[in-house]
Amino acid sequence: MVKILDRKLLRDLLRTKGLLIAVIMIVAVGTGSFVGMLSTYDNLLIARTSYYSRCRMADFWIDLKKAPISEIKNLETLKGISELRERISFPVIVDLENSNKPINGLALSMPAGPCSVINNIVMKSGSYFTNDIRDEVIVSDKFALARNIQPGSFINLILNGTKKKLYVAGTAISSEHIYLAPPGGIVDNPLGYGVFYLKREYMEDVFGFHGACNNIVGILTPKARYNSEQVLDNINKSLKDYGVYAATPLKLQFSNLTLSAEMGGLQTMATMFPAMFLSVAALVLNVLMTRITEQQRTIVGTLKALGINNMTIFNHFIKYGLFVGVTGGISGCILGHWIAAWMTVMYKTFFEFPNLLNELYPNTMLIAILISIVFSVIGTLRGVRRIIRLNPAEAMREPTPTSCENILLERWTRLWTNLDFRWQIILRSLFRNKSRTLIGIVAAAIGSSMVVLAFGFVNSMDEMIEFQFSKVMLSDYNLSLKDDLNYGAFIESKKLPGISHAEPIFNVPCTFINKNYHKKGMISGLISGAKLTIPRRANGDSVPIPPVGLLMTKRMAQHLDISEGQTVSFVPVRGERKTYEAKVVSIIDSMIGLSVYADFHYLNYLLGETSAVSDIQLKSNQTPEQKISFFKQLKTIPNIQSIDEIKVQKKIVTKQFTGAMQGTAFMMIMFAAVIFFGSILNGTLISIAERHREIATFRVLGYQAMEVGTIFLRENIVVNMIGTIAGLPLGYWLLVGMMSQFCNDAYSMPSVVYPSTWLWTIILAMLFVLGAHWIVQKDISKMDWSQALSMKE
Amino acid sequence: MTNSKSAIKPEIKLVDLTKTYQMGEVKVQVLRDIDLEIYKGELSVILGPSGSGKSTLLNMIGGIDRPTSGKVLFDENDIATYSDSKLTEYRRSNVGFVFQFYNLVPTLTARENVQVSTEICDNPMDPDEALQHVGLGDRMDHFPAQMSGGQQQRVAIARALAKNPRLMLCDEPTGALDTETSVIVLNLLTKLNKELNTTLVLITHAPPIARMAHRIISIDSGKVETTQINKKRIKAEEIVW
Ligand SMILES: Nc1ncnc2c1ncn2[C@@H]1O[C@H](COP(=O)(O)OP(=O)(O)OP(=O)(O)O)[C@@H](O)[C@H]1O
Ligand SMILES: [Mg+2]
Repeated sequence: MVKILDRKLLRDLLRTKGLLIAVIMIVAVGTGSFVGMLSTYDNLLIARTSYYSRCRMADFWIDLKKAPISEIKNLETLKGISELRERISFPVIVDLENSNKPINGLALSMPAGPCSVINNIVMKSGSYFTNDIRDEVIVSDKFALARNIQPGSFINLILNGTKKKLYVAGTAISSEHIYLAPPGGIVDNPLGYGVFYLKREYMEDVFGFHGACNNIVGILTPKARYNSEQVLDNINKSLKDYGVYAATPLKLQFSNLTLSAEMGGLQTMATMFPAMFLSVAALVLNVLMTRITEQQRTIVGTLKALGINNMTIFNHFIKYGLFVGVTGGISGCILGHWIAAWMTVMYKTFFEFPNLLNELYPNTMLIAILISIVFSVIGTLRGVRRIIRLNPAEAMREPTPTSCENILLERWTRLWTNLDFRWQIILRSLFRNKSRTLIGIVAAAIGSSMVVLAFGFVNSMDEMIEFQFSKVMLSDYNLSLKDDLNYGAFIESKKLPGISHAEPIFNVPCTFINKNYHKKGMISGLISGAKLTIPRRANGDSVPIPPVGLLMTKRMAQHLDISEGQTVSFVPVRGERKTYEAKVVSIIDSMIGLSVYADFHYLNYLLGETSAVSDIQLKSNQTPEQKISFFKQLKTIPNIQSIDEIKVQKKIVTKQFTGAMQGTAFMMIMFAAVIFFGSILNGTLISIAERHREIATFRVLGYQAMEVGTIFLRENIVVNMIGTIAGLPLGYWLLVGMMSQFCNDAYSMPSVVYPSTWLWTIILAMLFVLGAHWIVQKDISKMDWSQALSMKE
Repeated sequence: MTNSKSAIKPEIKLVDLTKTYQMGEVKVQVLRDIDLEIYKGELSVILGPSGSGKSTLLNMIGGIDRPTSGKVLFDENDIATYSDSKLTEYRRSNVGFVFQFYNLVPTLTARENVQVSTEICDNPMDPDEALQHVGLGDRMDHFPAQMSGGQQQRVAIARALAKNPRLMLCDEPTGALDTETSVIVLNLLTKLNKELNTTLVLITHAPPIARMAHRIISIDSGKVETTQINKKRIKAEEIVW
């Protein structure tokens, strides 16, 4: 008997194959996103772990002005520190023959001979320093590739204001620069920023750092890793006299932070997406199962009457769910592996690993299949339970006819009688199949929330870029100077070719202190009425720079637990390191960094300077020729530490962020399409099967297939539009949750949905409905209806 | 109106009609060499045993199906050559159907069911009037599930006649009804035939019913056996079941 039942199962599966494929697709996308994102996560995790241990990745970074090496010995005795390495680190400018523009870079000291130091490098081409030549450099691999620099060639670096010609010994990568962005920037730019590893002795000579260092990296004892703040505090205290700019634990180190944020995002999506898809699949399966069991109730009654027990019948029907779960799960694993391959390749363009590979994770796949089976079986359960509960006699009788009670809406007689009979049919059928209608609405809501999320990602990126580059940072060039120079340099810069306007900035790195909170940061002194940097609130309103006191970014204020009107203390990393006090006049918003602003003259006065300048912002109106000579002159100014062209920065940020986001958004919209199609096709094809006779009646009365189709189309439009609209706030809510993963000290992603997104979501949902209807219409058109009319009801 | 000899004209004409179904490898010939005329204003009854091809024949006349070969001439046009949508157009404006199972839309009331058909034709009857015709003036707001079989069948008839069709085709309209209700339905149909001069084709496999017709067409195994004019028409009440 069981064998025969299995044969029945097989035939039933074949008969409903279209509907099954729809459900299986949804399950597959759900499991696929689970497997895909978790595998990508694991790929990154494995690559990161092995890379970190291979390079001996540091647990913390200390940037300071200058400290004697002897001091390191003292530090090493501090509790929690296992090993330290001191380095010399300076910004450099690269002067390439084939580039007009000076390029920014970072010079880092390395031991003359290869040894396993903390934050070691991995050679990619050429060799380590040879010791034959004194002036050797190892160039970061991405930059070398982007700029076509080969080992054996020479490059010019402007080191400490003087141009030096260096022999390129090799190219290398390092785990501290898996994601490399220039200081102050948030995206990597291989063409515009590189790392240059120089022999320590060489850097000592060039920068006058004999027996001194300005950068310390260290490894903590395993126990201290859980409490790195405490250790960093102690280090800060011991190095107080040497001017600590920043003490950064691994958790906040930019490269690691960016990678971790991305991995966190993956984890969130790996839970969110499958949960959404598998819930829809379970709901859709519920509709399908209810239909199948309803259709087969007489058969079940007969089987029961023949003496087949409930267990056998239960097992029989639950196999539908198992089948969907297993096939959906397995195809999901294949899809997921493919998604992981695609995403891993995408990540390779951002993150630089020696070996980032797409591996196969049998455990993840097994779990994925199990989850998909669980959801599918849950989806099947309700229909099966209903049929099990029937007694044989009841089961053999036809189901009680659909209720003929009037629906609530009919009490509104004036409206109702004016309705077209098509709407009457639609509304009655929607209200009488309440659970099916509800499931359709829920599926559409989930689908539409996914579309909102997809667009919301892109919108939020656009908003951030717009805010930063069109509202806050309005200059064309930012020059950062080597020391705090006097006003004269600023006056000079105004005379550069094609410069129409210039503003000085006085940046003061300092430690902010409030109560027992403290945070390293920087105060930027802007001239009053500054036009090239405009502090703003999130809504876009500009906030004028107060003559006295500070403007502080919300996130920084939160770190310090300070609010508007309160007074904060700060200790600048310059001069005698006295403690100063200033009132926080207003809290502002910034999406990049933790900016704090003050009036240029106020800050100068406070620190006992007259008109110190550390950065210059320029607005230009240049002809191409002027631009060339502008860059040429810049290369010769010794005091310039770095040069940023804002337009280029904006272009890179836009390209990288929106580029990556658009890929993800496209994938998500495809996923949403699967939900819409799956749910609509399932619901409608079942409804068509149930209403076969009704359709035949319309056809015989002389209704064209199209006219009959529009009844179902309207029904789907009603259900899906209600669902889509309900999904709009849901999508926004998901976006906020998702974006909170991407808020840290380096950047805070806003959660923004443009009004056009609401519209687009509705338009897309409508297109999905129409697309699904196209299939439904084909089904109606080719339906053989003439037989239905003479069949018994 | 009486059917004087000179007024008799064919409403629809079947010429050399065959219908074959392909069932896998085998071909089943369901209708063969049918030549038949259905006359205007007449009540024609198609009589024959189960499986003889009655419904198939009626479907050809009604434009539900197309013959394998042969012609179905309506106003000199061969509807057998029509496209799907033209055939639909033909049904829409000319044909009213009544089936053994009433085929009402379960989610619509009696009146709304009639509206479904009046909505799409050019000069329909008022739905209420059509329901009054079939004696259901007081049931217009009832759903099919709230009515008896006979009442449902009368709604189906109202739905067909509300179009003012030229052809009314009934496939065993009383097949699912008891004797008493059958009489009501048959009386209603003859009344419509007489009063509205609608051409009526009625399928039955009960020979007594055939005695109500103007013309009796007997078919067997897909062939027209005889066509005879019924001289002595009886009323529905006179049928001996
Ligand atoms: N779609 C079809 N495919 C194959 N064979 C068919 C099809 N429709 C009808 N037939 C066959 O054609 C023959 C005639 O069927 P039809 O329905 O016309 O008979 P009928 O005279 O109306 O019978 P009944 O009195 O039982 O309604 C039957 O043998 C039937 O099996
Ligand atoms: Mg028949």
